[in-house]
Amino acid sequence: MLNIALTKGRLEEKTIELLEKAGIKCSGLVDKGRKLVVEIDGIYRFIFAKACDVVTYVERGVSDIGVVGKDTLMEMKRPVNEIAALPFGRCRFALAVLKGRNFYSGYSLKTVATKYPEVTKEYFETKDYPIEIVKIEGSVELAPILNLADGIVDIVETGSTLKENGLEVIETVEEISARLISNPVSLKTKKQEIMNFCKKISVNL
Amino acid sequence: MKRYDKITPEGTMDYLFKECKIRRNAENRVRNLFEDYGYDEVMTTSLEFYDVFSEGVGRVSQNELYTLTDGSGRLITMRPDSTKPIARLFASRLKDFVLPIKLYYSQPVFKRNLSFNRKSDEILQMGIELIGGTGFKSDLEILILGIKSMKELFGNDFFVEIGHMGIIGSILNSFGPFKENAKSAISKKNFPEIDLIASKLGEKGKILKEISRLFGGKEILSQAKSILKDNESFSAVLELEKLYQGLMNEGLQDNILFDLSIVNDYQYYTGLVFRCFVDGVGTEVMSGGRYDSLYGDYGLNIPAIGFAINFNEALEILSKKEIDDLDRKKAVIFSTSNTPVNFDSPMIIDLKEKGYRCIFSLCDSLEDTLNWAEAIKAKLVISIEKNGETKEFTV
Repeated sequence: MLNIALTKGRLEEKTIELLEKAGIKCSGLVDKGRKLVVEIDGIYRFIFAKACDVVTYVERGVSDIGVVGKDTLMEMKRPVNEIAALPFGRCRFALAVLKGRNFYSGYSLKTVATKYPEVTKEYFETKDYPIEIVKIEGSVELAPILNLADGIVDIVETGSTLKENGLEVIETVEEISARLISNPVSLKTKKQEIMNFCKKISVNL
Repeated sequence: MKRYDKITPEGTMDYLFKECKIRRNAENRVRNLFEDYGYDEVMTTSLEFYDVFSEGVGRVSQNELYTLTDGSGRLITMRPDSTKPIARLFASRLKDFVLPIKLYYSQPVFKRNLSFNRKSDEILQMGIELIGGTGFKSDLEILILGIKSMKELFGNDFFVEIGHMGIIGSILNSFGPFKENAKSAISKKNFPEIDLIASKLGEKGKILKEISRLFGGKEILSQAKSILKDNESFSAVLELEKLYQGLMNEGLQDNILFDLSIVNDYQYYTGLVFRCFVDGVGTEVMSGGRYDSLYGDYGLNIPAIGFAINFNEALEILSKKEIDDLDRKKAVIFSTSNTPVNFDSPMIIDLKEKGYRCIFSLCDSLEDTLNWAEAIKAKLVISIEKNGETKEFTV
């Protein structure tokens, strides 16, 4: 039995599309109602969880593999194997500021608002540029508008939310897409099952 | 202000009763194995100067160290591993000894971890250091000891994964500026990242792509031979084949897997590397290998090889199994008079011979004694009356 953790929401839908294309019967997944665990054909056991929890379950080995966004992996930095990039969930981490502003001007210590403090910290550390980070949970775009921050680091897909709020991207931090991750021990003990699953959804390992 | 005077810091724990028994029992089994093979114990200090870990091959990153200062303001660290302190010990007090020196240790190491990821900051490690041992014989002896110690702990429920830094090392060395990124991608088995780097490297990239996917049973060794037939790392694959043959001669081949792209955390592995996993446990229980350049930190050209067992992980696995035979039966002895019971009396000796631990009741009444006996799970209570007669009660 291969234990698979899926990130609830859009990644879940896209993964199910991929499975359906591969001829795996997904009616149990589509009409799961409020069930959190669904078994298919006695071969796969799917669980549905928040992105961070998918990583935790896979790290701890209670799920063998999982589908989660690269953004979550970068923020959590857990020892899981990122075995394949999946063809959906594409977006990017970007640094954005109020339109026309120069983030780096002057000598004052800059403040960056973000939902991803680890990613932000690492990005500016590699640039050897000291900053102050404010962790925000909701709409990060508010922070520069309210003058709480000089810039934001956030996920940008089309950029329309930024535009509507008078912000613009000035740097790309990292390109992102959905990833298939694996527990390092499962990758060894269930290599064949994982390989077969990947082949089915036409992902080359 | 919240006072933290009843709980222990994250990543630490107290061991009680059965937990201690499992720990001591497991430790003794492995200790006996090491002793049987002629390894002698060393205990190094828990407090080391920070300088021991600040530079060189055995460097440990600052954010992993527990540091404090001594009376003169010098920076001290709780030892984060035992291998570097043993190298220090060798460089100062053992350097004139005849090589090889066979050592083992059993002591905690201290490392900071992120909170709430269930990893311990204080880890009991038991391990082997073979200082000055080169070549096939040393590699095989350490591998055998590694596997046998896992057998002592887990029976057959484990597997040991073997690799060789000579393979991935020589490939990485030809990568120039891509070396570090490739290494990090390989250590995480991040295939999209590996393939991205490989695509920039042409023919060399193709080998990286193939090698990074070579893990599994012994059949991958023959695959590796065909992939690497013109590569300088070919001899490393032959070494692995020879070691596998050696393990077969010992009857230890059953739990063996290979992974030709193991890149362990430590930068210091130079040859054979291996680690042990137990199914259903996310972390490695044992890891080791050859680190011939570590003693170079002390200007010494001495090869060394060893491994360390993470006993915290091992104990967690062991405590999930039902281990009852570790607990000896208990008999509670109650004296109705104020005269203490003689521990060398025939009655006590008889009980001890029957396998009982004899525990004296300090209660004032038989009733309290019976309650207490039940609480400590004693099977038998013996009351010694004033006239010297004994009464037995089963609880």
